[in-house]
Amino acid sequence: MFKDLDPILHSQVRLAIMSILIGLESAEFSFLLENTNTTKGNLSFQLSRLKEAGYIRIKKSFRGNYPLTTCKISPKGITAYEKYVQAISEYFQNQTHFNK
Amino acid sequence: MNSNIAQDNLLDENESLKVIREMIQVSRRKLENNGILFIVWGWIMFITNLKEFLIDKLIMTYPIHQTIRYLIPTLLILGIIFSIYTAFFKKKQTSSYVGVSLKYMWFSVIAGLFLVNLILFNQLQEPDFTLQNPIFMVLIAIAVVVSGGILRYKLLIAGGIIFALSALVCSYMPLQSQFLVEAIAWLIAFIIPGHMLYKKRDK
Repeated sequence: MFKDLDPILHSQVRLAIMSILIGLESAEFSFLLENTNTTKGNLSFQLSRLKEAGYIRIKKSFRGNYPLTTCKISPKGITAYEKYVQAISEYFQNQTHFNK
Repeated sequence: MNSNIAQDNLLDENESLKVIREMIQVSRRKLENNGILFIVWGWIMFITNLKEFLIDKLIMTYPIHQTIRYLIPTLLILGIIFSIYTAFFKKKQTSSYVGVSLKYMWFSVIAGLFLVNLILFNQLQEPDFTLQNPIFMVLIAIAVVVSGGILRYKLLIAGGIIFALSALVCSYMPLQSQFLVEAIAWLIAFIIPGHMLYKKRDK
């Protein structure tokens, strides 16, 4: 049997956010918005959920007169993401095994 | 709030894999370097070395000679300002580990160049450019090869190796001829790979 998938990561937008952040040191809110195909409100909500879970860190600052939100994956988030990818890989390996 | 939750689509395993693949591509595109600093410094150093090689060989009028004399320091100052702006002040939506690694490595090499310069001067009591040129080239060659490795860009690695070999060739030559070899080395290790990277950049 394959492991239960982490419910925090098993959603389209949150998984997209984590998949972007895993390869970068940090990313701005505007960059995540451009690449996750969601609305500002939904992105804010999903970022809060990831923050509550301790998977990301959010830094609020200013660039000129405009607010700037920068997101960074945390060590806990990296571990959770790796486990999630591992579980997905195992699922596909098992599927291939059953199809044989 | 409810509309937000409604947009929190749950995925099946195939969709998860698709999201992971697509978003990792987004991060990967951001890792690519646009090569602009390679182009800028490649051309500045190419012109500087070529000028040093040609200055005594060509007969030119006083105004042209003066223009060339002031052109080089102006280019160097503009290059430094542009590099500092690009590295520290340019608006970027993301920060990548690759970018941070390259920044640390290049600033270490630049600091290394200053230190080598001081050490040589302390030991020799006078500047010896015939010796300094090839040593500088070796340090720069290391930085180019490491940059090529970090960016997974073979043309840059090859350029760095050629730059290092050019340093060895220079060590057999008088200073005047070193400038020509060095100009060619900057063309091969910086200008050509820089323009290729710029062509492939994430638009």
